[in-house]
Amino acid sequence: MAIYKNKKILALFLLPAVILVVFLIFLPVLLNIYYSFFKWTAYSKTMDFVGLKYYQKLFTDGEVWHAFLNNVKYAVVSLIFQVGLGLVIAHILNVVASRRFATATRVIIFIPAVISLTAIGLLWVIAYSPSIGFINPLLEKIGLGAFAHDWLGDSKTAMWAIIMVSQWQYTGEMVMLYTVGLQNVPTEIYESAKIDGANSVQSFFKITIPMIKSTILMNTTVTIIGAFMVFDEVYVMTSGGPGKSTEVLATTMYETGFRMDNMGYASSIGVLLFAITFIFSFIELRLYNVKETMKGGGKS
Amino acid sequence: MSKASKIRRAVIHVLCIIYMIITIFPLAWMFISGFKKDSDLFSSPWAIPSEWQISNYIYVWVNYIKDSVLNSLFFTVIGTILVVLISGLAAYAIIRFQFKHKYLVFMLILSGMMLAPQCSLIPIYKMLSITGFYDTRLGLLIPYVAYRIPFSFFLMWSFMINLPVEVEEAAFIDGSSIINTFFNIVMKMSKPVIATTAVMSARYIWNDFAFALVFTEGRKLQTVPLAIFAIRSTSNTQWSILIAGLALAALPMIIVYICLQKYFVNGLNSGAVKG
Repeated sequence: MAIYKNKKILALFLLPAVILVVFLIFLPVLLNIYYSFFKWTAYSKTMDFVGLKYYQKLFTDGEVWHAFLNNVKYAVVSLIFQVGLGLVIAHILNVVASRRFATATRVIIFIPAVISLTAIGLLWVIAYSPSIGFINPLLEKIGLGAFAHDWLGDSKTAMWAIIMVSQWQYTGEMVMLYTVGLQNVPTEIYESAKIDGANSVQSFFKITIPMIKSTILMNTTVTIIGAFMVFDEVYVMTSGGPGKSTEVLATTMYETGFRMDNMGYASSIGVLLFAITFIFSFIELRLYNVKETMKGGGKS
Repeated sequence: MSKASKIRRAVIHVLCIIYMIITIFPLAWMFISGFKKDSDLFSSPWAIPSEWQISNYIYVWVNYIKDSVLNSLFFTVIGTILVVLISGLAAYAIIRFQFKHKYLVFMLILSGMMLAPQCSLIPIYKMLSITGFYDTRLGLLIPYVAYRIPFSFFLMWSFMINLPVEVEEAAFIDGSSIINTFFNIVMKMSKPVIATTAVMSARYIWNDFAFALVFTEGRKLQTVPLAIFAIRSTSNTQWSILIAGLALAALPMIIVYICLQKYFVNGLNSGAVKG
């Protein structure tokens, strides 16, 4: 049709999306790199060129590495709970639990994932609190009173306490993601395996894992990216404290930029964050494409 | 079913129930504790309220939440409409129009998914300051919309590509304009994917904390997540008020989820990423 060749209409349809993506997603990435070569503050009119100084600082800065390691902890625990345990739960719901039970469980355990990290984070600040929280009384009730603790007030436990909130909130979403993947696996495969005498553990390793390998890979990259992007829950729950014990890269960047007003250095932390996430996102997008091309494009 | 597998199933069901309780309990605790007096809260965190008082909810609504709900609604509703409209237009253009470098444009928009918003907080903040959009409605709305486009575009593209072109061609022959065709035929046929896209983007905008924190200041544009965070930041935190505030902040998304569950799941189906 001739109308599909009309350049003006094409521009009208396409440009809003292209302009927004280019100016608010791509340009900031370039600006971020550019800004990281300068010393500047939020209100300063001028910027002093410092070259690679901030990058030299970045790689020797103990605080940045400490924050990075916290992100790594976040990633490892999330891989165990969300990617690992989430898969086991999805498999069990799929093959062992009755249909009704499985549906009810999936619906319920997804609920925390739709609520904001801010509300969930603050709820757990209260839950962990030694004075008004329900965690310590719960431990006492089940005979583990010796473990009662100021979870977020102790620099040894604070990071783990935050990480566990994330597992509580998002494992249900991961189960749902896996379930969606498992819907593409014909139930006959499980049934014939059962007739051949395979139990649910064997069908987990022999059927579930191989059949939804791409979903597992995708969830792995999404989880790793998520773990390095963590900001809201840490900022809301501890603001990086006590001391610097729960700082992650994104909160370190925020503190450096907006509290200490060292925007140039904060930008270089932003570039580091970008580099880490870009690598994993690139892998993720490749997985997307492979999937879509295989399907012959576009059926969702 | 054999006895062994019956027992196995029963064990699994018990585990399911435990997992559901672990999920629901903190939320139920929040809604119930919102009715407690501060003194009740300190004396017995596990007990039900000695008297159920709704005053916490009223107080937190009037003093903290009310104005922020209007702000959050504004960003969520307008933002979501813009996301759906802009992504839909672009997806349609990519599918139907013939032009050079189509694949390049397609990949350009899609690649936006690789870039996480958290990395770009500082440069966007700077851009907004330079252009005078810092702490303005548009200054927060535009980044929200922009960061939802790549994924929404992908979602809508993967649905629209299966729409039959004949319907549109018939409309053109009947003299329908392209705008008219887009809204009355293409978008109408795309209702399921529009619902999914809208739910995903509403969830993102309603729940956002980082953008609102960095791109606005003061109470004028405060969204709900910032408002409840502000209760916590006051020097003398009234815990029962804060809990009531959290419950009010969580409630709308829980209701939307329960009513529109299908669309949340559809969003995941298309390979949604978290957040």
